[in-house]
Amino acid sequence: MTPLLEQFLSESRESLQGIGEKLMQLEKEPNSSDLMIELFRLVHTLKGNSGLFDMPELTRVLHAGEDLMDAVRNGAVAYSPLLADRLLDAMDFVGMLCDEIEADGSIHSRHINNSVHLADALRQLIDVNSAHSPAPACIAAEQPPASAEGAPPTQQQFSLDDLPEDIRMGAYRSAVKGAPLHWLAYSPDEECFFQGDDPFHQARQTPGIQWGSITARRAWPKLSELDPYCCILDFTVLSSAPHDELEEYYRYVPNQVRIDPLCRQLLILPQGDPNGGPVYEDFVADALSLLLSGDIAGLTRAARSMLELSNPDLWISSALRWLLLVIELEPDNIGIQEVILLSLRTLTQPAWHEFTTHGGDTVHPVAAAAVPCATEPVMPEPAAAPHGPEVAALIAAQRAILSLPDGVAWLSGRIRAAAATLSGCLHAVGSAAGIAEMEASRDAALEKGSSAPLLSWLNGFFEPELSSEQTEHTDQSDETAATISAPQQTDAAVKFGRRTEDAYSGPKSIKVDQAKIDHLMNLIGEMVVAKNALPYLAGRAETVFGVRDLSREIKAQYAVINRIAEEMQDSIMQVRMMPVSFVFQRFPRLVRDTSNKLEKEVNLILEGEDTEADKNVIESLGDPLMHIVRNSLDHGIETPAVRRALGKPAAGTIVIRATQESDRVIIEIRDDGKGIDPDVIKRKAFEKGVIDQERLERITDQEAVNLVFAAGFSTAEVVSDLSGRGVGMDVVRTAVEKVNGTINLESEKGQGTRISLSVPLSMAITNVMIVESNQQIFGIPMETVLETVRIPRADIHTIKKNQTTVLRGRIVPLKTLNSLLGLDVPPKANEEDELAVLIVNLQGEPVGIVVDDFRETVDIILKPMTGVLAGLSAYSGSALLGDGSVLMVLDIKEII
Amino acid sequence: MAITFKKDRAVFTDMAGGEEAESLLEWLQKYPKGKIDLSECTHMQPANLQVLMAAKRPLHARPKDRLLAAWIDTAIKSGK
Repeated sequence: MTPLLEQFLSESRESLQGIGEKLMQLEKEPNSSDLMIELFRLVHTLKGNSGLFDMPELTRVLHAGEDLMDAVRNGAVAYSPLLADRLLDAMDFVGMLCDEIEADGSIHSRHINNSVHLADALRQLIDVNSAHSPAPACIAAEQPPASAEGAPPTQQQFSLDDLPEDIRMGAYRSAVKGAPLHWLAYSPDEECFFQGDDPFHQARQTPGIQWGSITARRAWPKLSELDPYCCILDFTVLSSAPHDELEEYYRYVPNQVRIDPLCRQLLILPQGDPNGGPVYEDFVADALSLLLSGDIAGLTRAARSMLELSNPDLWISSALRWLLLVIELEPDNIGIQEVILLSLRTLTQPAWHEFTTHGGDTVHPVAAAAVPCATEPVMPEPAAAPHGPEVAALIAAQRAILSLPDGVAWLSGRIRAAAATLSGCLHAVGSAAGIAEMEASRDAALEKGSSAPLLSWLNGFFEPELSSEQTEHTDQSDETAATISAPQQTDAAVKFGRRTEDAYSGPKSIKVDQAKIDHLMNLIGEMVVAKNALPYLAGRAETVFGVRDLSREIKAQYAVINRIAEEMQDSIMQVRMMPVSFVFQRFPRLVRDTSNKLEKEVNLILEGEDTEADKNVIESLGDPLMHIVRNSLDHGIETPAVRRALGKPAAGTIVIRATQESDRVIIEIRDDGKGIDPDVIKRKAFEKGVIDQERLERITDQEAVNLVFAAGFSTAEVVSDLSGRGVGMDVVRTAVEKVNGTINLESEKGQGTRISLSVPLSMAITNVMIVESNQQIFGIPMETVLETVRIPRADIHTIKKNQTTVLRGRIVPLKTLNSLLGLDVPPKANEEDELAVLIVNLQGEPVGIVVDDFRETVDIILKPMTGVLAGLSAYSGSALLGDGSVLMVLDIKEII
Repeated sequence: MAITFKKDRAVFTDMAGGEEAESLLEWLQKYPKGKIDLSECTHMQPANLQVLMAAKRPLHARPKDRLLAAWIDTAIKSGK
């Protein structure tokens, strides 16, 4: 999971919670426009964020929510509890999707339907006066009447009839082998070309595609009036891919796609020249008797010879080819074969919607509707049934069958089939008593040659659903469609509503006030100090009280506490760690804007952005880095013309690189600009009085370059709004030193400048060396200590009142700590008359500090001097030692 | 350009992009007897297809790409 996604998830949770709260508040004060605006803002942000990721399900719902809230905010729609309910439902859904993303990293395509329903439910509220906005199922359902009304007859809808026979046979074969069959209608949005979509490509790449067609939604206008960029194409695809896969593939346009399962029998559509009408009665009678007697071989032979005798373009040849295919693939499926044979009698298409297979799976009514040959209205399944949905569906199907017009040759077969199914249903629902009654009606129906008696029995027996169903049936088709989609919607709501309650998972990240972390930091600091008291205690137990065992036990306990305390300290430090990208991220923009303003070309290269350091350290680096980069841009990088003249690439390069070196972070800023001219610096420094004549003459180039860090120094001829006010580099140095960092500058004239900052990873723990002088102890930060040496008194030379010594061939000035602190006491030497000298680094130069004795180094929590003591610049702070005593930490720079 | 316009025919090669639909439309209006050669075409952005469907011009050459040809056939057929 990417950091961006993690952030999105945590922000989304917050927004969702905010939305929930605002909605609750709105319930109390429904007219508060502030709340509305706030609510809109939350939904808007959430939607905008979701657009960054590939989550159409999420974005769709949020987009609808945003539109709705926009309407509410503008007063177009009034707030209502229904609105709150739907919005809360939608937000629950979003929350659930967030959980899923967190768990799996992606959203399953099964949510598409829920997403569409929720989005529709929200949009429906935007214009309450308009009819129910069509759910995907309705679009296609409405199409046949629409085309019947307005469209000219030249526009034909593709149907299964139009599929070439070999393709249908191929699909049939794969369906018999168990592949699913789906009939997919894809009506892309008219504006889709402007969104860069290529619906044709989309349709061509449909998974499991067997066949596809393109039709125009409307009649084509004259070429002169044609707008080629208004998409009025409809795509129809026969696919053998599973429903889920198709849904996944079309997940961005679920409301433009209708996917219906297709019963394979519907593919059996003999086509061809009727050759003068039905004249095959003899063959049909023979073949039927062969079929019913189970003589498959005989039937095959008969069909083959008949096929050879017939012209392949004839209708009968087509039907026979299908018959042979079915015999080959499903020799036991006598029902299908019978229907094909019967169709030869009349040369009409097999009536598959009446067909019931042995397995009892009736042809799906929706699939039948997709086939235009089924002109009879198809009943929707009843919304609720007392006998379970399966039985209700069967009964509805039988009722539909029996409602078909009489007067067809296979009427008796139809009545018998319906009666057989009904008898099964009656058994299933435990009303065996009704069977006799039903059979009587069946016989009556057969006698009369009409399905009416059986139908009236059926209507009488299953009265309860009838009334509701008939009203539905007589309603407008769009309303029927609405009633179909409505139950699905409630199902969906119930389903994910339950899930959100079950699988509650709290956010994985929490926002904590920095003060709390600081407090924690202080506590662990005290803990470290307190634990350091244990070794003292152990020592006392042994030396003062003489209990050796106790001392050992205390030491053992100390080891344990020490380990835990160190881990705790580590963890707390980790909490405060931040990547340097936090300060780096502002540079690309800064460099771009500044270089544009200066008409320079600059490439910025950032490296090691994920290097981490303490939050305070990182934050303190922001301003110094900004200053340095600005300086590089303003003074360092030349204009493209100058650079070309110097033989450099026109675009300058600034590299900012962060690396970690043990417990320090090194940040290096390097440019390939003109560098710093030491002569200019020297002259400027002299002019501004930063250095005197004497120093000017003997200063080295490297020293001169470092003069830029001196206070009040600026080389720029003109003060610009970018830099040159003379408060530049000394401010940088001060800021870096404040976090115990060091700054180093190297520059070569004409080649560029390199500035490196070295800052500690964390400021909390300081490693200090304890030294003793005049019976007092002092701390000296380890980062300034170069080495400790003992120098015989004889090796100390005095040059003009200044004590010095020669260390490894180099003269090192010596200062006694006592004199530095104003104590008029000479330093103590040891038995061999050697003096303890601490060599420290003072701005790159070694200086020896003579002390009485060295002690150990310790980790301490340095507390800055506060209050009245804050003015004592000789000390950088104080710390508590394990034995309870206070250690004063010296600020070497200040005292020398 | 994936469509080459000559006086007597428009020849499609590879993939015809959406921006070419406009020129195709102009060409069809300018040359009412111009022929359409799709033999080397592998795909066309549907805006082009819409222009071809609206023009109801018989195809001089069907695409060699069998699958594309099947699609185009249905499109041309539906317009008739």
